[in-house]
Amino acid sequence: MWRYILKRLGMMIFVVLGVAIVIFSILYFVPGDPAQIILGSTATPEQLAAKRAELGIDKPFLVQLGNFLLDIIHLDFGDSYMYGTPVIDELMVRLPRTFLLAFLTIVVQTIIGIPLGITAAVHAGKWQDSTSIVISLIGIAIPSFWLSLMAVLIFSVKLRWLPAFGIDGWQNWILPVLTGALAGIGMNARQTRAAMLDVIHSDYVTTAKAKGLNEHDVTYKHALPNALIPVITMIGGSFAMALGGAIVTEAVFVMPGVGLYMTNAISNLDYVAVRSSVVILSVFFSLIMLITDLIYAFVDPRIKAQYIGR
Amino acid sequence: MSKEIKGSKPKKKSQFAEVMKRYFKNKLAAASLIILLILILIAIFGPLIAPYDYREMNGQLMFAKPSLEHPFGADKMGRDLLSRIIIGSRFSLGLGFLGVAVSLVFGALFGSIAGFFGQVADNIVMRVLDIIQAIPGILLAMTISTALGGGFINTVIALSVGAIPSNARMLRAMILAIRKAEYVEAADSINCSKFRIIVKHILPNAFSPVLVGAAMGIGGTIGQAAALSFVGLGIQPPDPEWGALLADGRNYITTYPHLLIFPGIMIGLISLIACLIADGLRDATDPRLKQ
Amino acid sequence: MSENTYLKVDNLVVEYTSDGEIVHAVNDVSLRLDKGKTLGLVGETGAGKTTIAKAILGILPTPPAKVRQGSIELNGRNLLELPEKEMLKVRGKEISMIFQDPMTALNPVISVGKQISEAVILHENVDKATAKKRGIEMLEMVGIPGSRYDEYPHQFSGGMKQRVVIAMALACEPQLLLADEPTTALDVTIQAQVLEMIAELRKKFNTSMILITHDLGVVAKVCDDVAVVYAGEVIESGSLEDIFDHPTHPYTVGLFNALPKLTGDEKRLSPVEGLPPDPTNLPEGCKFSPRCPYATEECRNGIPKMCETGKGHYVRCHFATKFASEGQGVK
Repeated sequence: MWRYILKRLGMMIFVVLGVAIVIFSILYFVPGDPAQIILGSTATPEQLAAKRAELGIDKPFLVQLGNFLLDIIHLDFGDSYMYGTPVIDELMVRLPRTFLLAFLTIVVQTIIGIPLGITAAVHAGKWQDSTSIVISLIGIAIPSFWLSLMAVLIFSVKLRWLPAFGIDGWQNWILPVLTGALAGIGMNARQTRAAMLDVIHSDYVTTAKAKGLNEHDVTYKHALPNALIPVITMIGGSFAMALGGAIVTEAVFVMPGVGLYMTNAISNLDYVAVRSSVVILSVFFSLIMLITDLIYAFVDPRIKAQYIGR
Repeated sequence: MSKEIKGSKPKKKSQFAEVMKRYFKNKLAAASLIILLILILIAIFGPLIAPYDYREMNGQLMFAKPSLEHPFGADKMGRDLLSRIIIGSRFSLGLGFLGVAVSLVFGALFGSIAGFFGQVADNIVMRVLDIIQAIPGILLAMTISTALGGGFINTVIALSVGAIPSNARMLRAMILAIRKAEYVEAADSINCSKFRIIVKHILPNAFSPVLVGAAMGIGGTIGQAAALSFVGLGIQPPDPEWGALLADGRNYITTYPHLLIFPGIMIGLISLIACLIADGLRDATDPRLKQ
Repeated sequence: MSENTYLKVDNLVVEYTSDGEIVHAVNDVSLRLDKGKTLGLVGETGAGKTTIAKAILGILPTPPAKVRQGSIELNGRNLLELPEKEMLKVRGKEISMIFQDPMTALNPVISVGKQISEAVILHENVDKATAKKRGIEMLEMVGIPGSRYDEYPHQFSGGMKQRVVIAMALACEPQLLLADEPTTALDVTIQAQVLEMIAELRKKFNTSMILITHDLGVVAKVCDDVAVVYAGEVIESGSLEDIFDHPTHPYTVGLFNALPKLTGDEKRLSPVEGLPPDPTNLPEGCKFSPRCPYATEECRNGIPKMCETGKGHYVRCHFATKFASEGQGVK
């Protein structure tokens, strides 16, 4: 098992460097001159040239890319053009907020979505099923940032129950988490329902019934663990969605996380901040995917056997 | 077995007709497909249908609430919102369909390279896809959009790149699985030509998952395009892409919510019908359900 | 009908609804099984054999399946009228079932040992340690080392998995075993071993069995009585000797003609011509008439009744008595 984890971590370093190269190359084409942005429109050509040399952006593409990768290996993520401060300092303050938002979103969508899917599958064709299908479809169809806006309109502006922006208290998290979770609730419910229905008709569930197990035990002891296997992989994947959702949600609720930092950086053409944010988010994203795979292995003995190399 | 058996006439309709018959049995899916076709027609004939010029400003109509003349009201510059949504559908649907098409084409390309050309090509392609997949989709779209700037084609690129890996993986897995599948071996063993195998066996099997994925992807892409516009990337106002309309109306949420409600409903509607169409297609093409 | 009839199925009718069409899976089936005896259910794939077994055990998926009429009496109790709570005590304890495909019959995420002892805990009112001991015993009884108790199904070969399935089915010493093609998915060499093992274990526990198969060779080796099933009907039933020495229904005769004979000098086998009927659209009259070389107008219009041609030998054919006395002029 440890060998597998180490191997995966090694692959992850390779992937993260790949991500760094891809992001760097894409942002290399950003129009606009960072030196101009930093110094303003009053700067002389000499000042601009000096600034470019200082930033190292007068060198050829490959040299710049090499320097960037070396910096990353030394965990140096550069200084923001906007603020002149190290990007990493800013991210370290903001990342926990973004992760908390994404994490709470996933927790909510999992603890609501999966039972909803199970209920639908167990009562397939009955009203519980239809209700769950309708909730899922609505959740998937409505764009979460629009839902956030509507939630602000109703619960903050009209009813004045909850704050519309900021992160001052726990009340601030309710709307962002709930609106962000709705899509995930829908996807989890659908996936769980489909997986359950698949499993319920499999031979080993019939075997379990033939043993004399009651409906409840057949469903929860025999069918559910198998149905959860594909669902767990999806929870890992939905972290990407939750993270992406958090980026946009932060923009709506003005929450000072990485997302807000990034959207501000984008509008200021602060591409050092943008690329470092993306690279760091990708590192965490890869880590989460790795953890998901390990949980997956824990649940499914067939996969565990592959990892151990039996 | 030449003997004709009474009471068990062979059912041999064309596969397509069979799928369509089953698809249209599902009322929701059928209705969704019809709505989608109507929306496409509206997008195509937008300028003819729109009651007003979507760019025409009218000082007297600033922030007008919905009325008989202007069913969806008017925006901050007094432009008719219904007309803007109609013209906006050209942007939104265009981004959705083109974005999915581009990601499918490149996904198919990379997937077949990985599936057909052996270990080395497979390894290289898959590692590159690993890297792209390690970047959360909306972040990648935002990054590309930042680099390339706004505009329709640039936004299509920004939206499609992130979806390439999953499409490529799907096609690769399908090619590998189908190449090993017993019925292809069987076809091979009776000396069926390679071309015939591909046309008769591989394509029909690959077709339905691709179609289902595409239907689902169109809704998702339109939503993502709107999110992109909303954070200030992609298509920008004054172009009336639905997300751009939301971005435009955002500051007036407390006073003139109709500016946000109508475009949002359109995005939700298109995602919903895309989802229902995908479900309908999956159920109609899944041979396991035939039993 | 003997006095110690253990299982008595009468006029069982089961239908499925699929895509708005009604599938007539089991049509008016009656069976008798004595204590400690083995009944072979023989017939082509899709004839309704598995549905009969599942109906007896009460594990038909309802919907889409529905038992339309009939009774299933086990030791005098009608299982179809038993409340689900009572039925739970019958399943796995009094009746258990061995499924056709050992590859899919075991739960992939539960260790094989637990899957065996689960039924013991459920029915025997024992603690976990005793149940585990019992599970290990059962594994060893089917020839698998008890040390493999904690292993998972994917670590076993197909034949081993079927042994596990058998251990599971016999763990609570059932009175009736429903074996649904228990050897079809296995290698020929392993088939014989598995059959041998089932026979041995049954003797030990004095278990009655219904063996579902399409393999007449297996039937000859294992069964006391035989019922031939065609299109959801029993078309001929009787003792092993009745069926093997005096096959009367044209379909049964056809089945035997389709077998290679060691003594025969036929140049080629003569299979039963044609295909089984579509169960959503059964022919009127005798269901075998479209394939029957002797079919007359009468066969196509009237459904034949069960006809006793010898003691305990029943045939569902308009010409049963004629065929029984004169034979069919075997081709």
